[in-house]
Amino acid sequence: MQDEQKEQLVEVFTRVAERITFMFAEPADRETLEPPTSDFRCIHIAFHGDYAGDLTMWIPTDARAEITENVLGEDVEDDGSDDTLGELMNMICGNFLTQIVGYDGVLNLTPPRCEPATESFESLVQDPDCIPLLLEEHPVFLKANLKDCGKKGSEAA
Amino acid sequence: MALNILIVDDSETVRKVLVKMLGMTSLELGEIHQAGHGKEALEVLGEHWLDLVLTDINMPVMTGEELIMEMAKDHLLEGLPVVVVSTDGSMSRMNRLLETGIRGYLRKPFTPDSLEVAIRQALEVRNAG
Repeated sequence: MQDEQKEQLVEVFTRVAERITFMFAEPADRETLEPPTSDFRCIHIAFHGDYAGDLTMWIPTDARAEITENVLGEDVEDDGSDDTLGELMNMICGNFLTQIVGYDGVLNLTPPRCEPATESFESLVQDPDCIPLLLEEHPVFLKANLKDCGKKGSEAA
Repeated sequence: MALNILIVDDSETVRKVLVKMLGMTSLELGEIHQAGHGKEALEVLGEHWLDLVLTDINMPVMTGEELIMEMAKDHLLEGLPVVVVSTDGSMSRMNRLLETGIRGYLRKPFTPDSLEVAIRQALEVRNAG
């Protein structure tokens, strides 16, 4: 992914996350990022159309209930549901891709798939393609794979 | 007149947020019904008299686009105002849906103000028609 697209992804994440979770989001320094107190959930969306690829987000399991509470504005127990994380990812992916292809682009997204992460915090920190972020005190990672399949890609080819 | 509204979204969180935000508008609300996908929505539409449908696009079982197509084929539902609430903002899809009769589009994430504007515009179009 190009540096410009990484910057767009960070901007979309901070804007969307702050708007729906009311939690402060910012880029993080991978050298000083602290590991979470829980394991990670891995949320994945694939897409095809003018661009093909996928977007993956890793977010600590212990942030799940806090995010849902903030989105709904009420106390909730962590019932194990990833519904809010999936919807957060859906909005990040949809808004990011719209920035990339514009409103006249064609894109189809798969429903978000949430599962326990197989990657460790250390491996995510060391992966140069993973973008480290902070959502309040929670470490979050984003990774996108993009292939231009649309008009721009055809023109470039 | 109190509005009876159907919210169609596969995310329970989004449905709850929409219910909460509807309560923050100055709209006079009647019954709020919910469905997790298009097929469920058609069942609710067959059982209740509604004034407006707010629907997502990307859903399992039956998508919002399929729901809108089914409604357009039913003479009892074809005039019912539909506002699409989605992250999918491609003009080609929106133009296709506008041709089938949707009355508005609201991009996620949204605010109570933008939700109210989209609903009022959708209802004005119906009243003007």
